[in-house]
Amino acid sequence: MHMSETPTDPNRAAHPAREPRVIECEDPATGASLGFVPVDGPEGVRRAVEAARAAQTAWAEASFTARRRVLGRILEHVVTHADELVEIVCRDAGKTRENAIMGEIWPVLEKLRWTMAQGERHLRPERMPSGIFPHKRASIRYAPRGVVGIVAPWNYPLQNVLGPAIPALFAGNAVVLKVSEAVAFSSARFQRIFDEAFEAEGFSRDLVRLVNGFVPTGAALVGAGVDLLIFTGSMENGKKIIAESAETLTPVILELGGKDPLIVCDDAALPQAVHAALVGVFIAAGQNCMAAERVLVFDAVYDDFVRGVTAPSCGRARPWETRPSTWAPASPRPRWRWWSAWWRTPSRGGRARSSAASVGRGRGTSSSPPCSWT
Amino acid sequence: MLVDVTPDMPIMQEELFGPVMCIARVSGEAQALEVANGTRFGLGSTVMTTSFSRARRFVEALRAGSTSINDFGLPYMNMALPFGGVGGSGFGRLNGREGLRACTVPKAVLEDRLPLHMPSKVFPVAPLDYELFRGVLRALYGRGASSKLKGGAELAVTLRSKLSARLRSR
Repeated sequence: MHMSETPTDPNRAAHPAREPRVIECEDPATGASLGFVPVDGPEGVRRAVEAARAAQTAWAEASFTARRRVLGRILEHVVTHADELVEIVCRDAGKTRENAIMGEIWPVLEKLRWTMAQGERHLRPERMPSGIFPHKRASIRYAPRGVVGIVAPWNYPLQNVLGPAIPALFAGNAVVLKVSEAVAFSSARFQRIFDEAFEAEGFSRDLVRLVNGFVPTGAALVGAGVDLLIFTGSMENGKKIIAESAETLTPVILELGGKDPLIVCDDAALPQAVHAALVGVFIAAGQNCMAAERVLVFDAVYDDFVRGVTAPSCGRARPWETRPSTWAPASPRPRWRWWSAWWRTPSRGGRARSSAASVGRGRGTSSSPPCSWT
Repeated sequence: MLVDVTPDMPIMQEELFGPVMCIARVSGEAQALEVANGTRFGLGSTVMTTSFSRARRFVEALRAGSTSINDFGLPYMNMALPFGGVGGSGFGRLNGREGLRACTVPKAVLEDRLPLHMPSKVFPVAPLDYELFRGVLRALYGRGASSKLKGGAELAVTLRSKLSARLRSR
């Protein structure tokens, strides 16, 4: 298949002819409408950044103890309201409850725990040797940058918001975070997590603002003068972000895609390898930047491995399925068409080994791949 | 699931972000590494092996932001470890010490230990200052005792010349 025939990814940045004022939210599993969320345009972003900056001066002065108290409130909130948060994530992203609790709630709680336990150690001033100036005392201070802008993707709505926001906050920054338009519905609920924590500890709600919009809203973050931009998304959009950041010399952290290998050696414990590959490929229906997109198997164990991953027991839907959408993706609707284009395009020699080619929208079949449980 | 996939196929180079297992055959470590490192990406990697030495070889040679031995995805759950990629997977880190410090401006600070307020005079440049400083550099950085001694001797001679010049000028 020639590269020019590669199906183009409809998830790439789209520039609507007329700038939409609202985002139409939908449950990707069922197609049910979740209502509309207003778009925060460049002006809204600018105001959010200004307000965040104003609030940040007080926050930068807060002791680590005070910052830990805020994080503690967030942690309590997530633990207490786990079921509710799981439910909203499932509705907005079309994922399973198991994925939401293991892949979103758990990492967020662990991030909070680690930051509270270890964060101060890494952020305290660090004494350095005086070197050839014994009459001087040398140290490194880790000062907050100011306002951190974050552009989040859609695959793990809760985790993509809290994950990067927590360290940025603990380091003494304010945060303005642009939520993906594909999962705008849940953003208001996540905003509450921060609002309640700040209010309880006497800090301003402006310290973390979630904004909604399309690509221009994210681009506006750079122009609004954030002091650091954290972008997670496609390589193509990442390049656009760097191009924007060149104008203001805004430092950027780019978390782009991957084509991660999973190598099965001839001395691997085969059941462990089979399980790891199934999880690595199919968790969240493969919508993971670090998904195991290529499984490389040593010759000697190749046949056994293939037998292992295509065993009939892998294909049954698990009894604890809670949603009809056993295999629903979190991605916006166009992605279905893109996947089926890949599937239909002959790939010169590669053979399909599973009848899972029947990609039904929102419906798992009895031969659906093992991704059905997470 | 696609079996017998080969590295030249576009599906082995372009990110799919979907529920497709692409299984490719490799002859051994060398080919596994070649194929594994053969895309523009480099985010994570997983190696299934029961050999510690083999695991170590892969850890050293895989071009990626993380390598996990015998478990998929676990590095991300250790929040002390940084997360991020190389090449087309991006730059910068989240999580861990690196991710935390990335949200800060590391500021270099040099302060006085004692309340001594004598300037370290570097100007105006006087005769023999060059030789003096060269002597200091040799004494401080010369490798081996003889080199340092030579530097020290040069320093001493230069200082004496400077002193006598100053006395004469009075």
